[in-house]
Amino acid sequence: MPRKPQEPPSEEQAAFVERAIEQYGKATYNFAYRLTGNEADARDLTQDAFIRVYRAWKSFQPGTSFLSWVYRIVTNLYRDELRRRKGRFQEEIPEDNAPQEFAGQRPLAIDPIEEYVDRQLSEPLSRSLRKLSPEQRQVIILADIEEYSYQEIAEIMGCSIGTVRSRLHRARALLRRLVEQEYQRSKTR
Amino acid sequence: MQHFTIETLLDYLHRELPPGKDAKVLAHLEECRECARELDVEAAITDRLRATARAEELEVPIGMRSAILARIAGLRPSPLDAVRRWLRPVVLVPLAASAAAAAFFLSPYGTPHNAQTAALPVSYYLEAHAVRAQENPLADRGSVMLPAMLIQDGAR
Repeated sequence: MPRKPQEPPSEEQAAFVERAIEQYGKATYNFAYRLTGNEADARDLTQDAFIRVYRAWKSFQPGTSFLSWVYRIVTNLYRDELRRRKGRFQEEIPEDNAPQEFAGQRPLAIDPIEEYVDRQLSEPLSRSLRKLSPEQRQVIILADIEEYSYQEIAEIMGCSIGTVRSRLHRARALLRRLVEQEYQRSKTR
Repeated sequence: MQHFTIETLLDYLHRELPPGKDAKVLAHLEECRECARELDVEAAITDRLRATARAEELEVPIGMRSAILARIAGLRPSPLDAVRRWLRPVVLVPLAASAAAAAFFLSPYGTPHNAQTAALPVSYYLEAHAVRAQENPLADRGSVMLPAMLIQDGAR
């Protein structure tokens, strides 16, 4: 069956996306970064998500959470990409040693000691988080970092609340085990 | 003492228990050091996850916004595309047919020959016919439109 031709895009549609990038671009990019674990994939995922926002802008219901809607789009794109690649997203391998360009400074701790302490505690957790499956990582990001309710996570991930609950329980149990292993390993070094 | 499962404590931590059960867990935690310690470990992991996320928060890379807008611009039709849309046969054929019909009906060819007489009252014809029938009984078989001059001449 031939596809129905799309309606011609309007100025209003482009303005809608521009405003969405302005307000939610950073949050979306960081969400994509936490999911994929590397900046190149996060960049691609964020761009694709906003193109999808542009195409599907009429399906957004005013009065509902725009960020939840974008996260749902990112989640679906990420799932499609994983299926396409049949595995994990590539680990980021910088092509050269040049630092990445950012619009602003990374908001890291200013005090070097504070930064050191923070990194000492954060790195084992980040490593452990990366060892989880994409779906386990996603449910932890949404529940613990983004602080969404189980109901909201179910809507974003397109599953039941029961699935969210059991997936989160399993993910947290595994994360705790991995953190404890990392901690034991760091003590023996 | 009956302990709560780690799953229940996680749901409590995420504020996902129904009010009655939430109150029971809260009361239990005040008495049970073991469950309170378990909850503290889970809460510490959550706190650390949030702190890590804040520490690793990235700014939007330079060029990403313009790259998205450029891709969108590529999806939008140019003014030439808009003209092409109007030149499609599905639009063009009915448009040409309407224009041809309008041209025909507005031209002298499209105007009926008796258009002027059609505006005259019907009574005029009835009266003219009555006059002709009176003066010339065969008029019905001949030309319907007898020149008015002949009728007038005959009346004389």
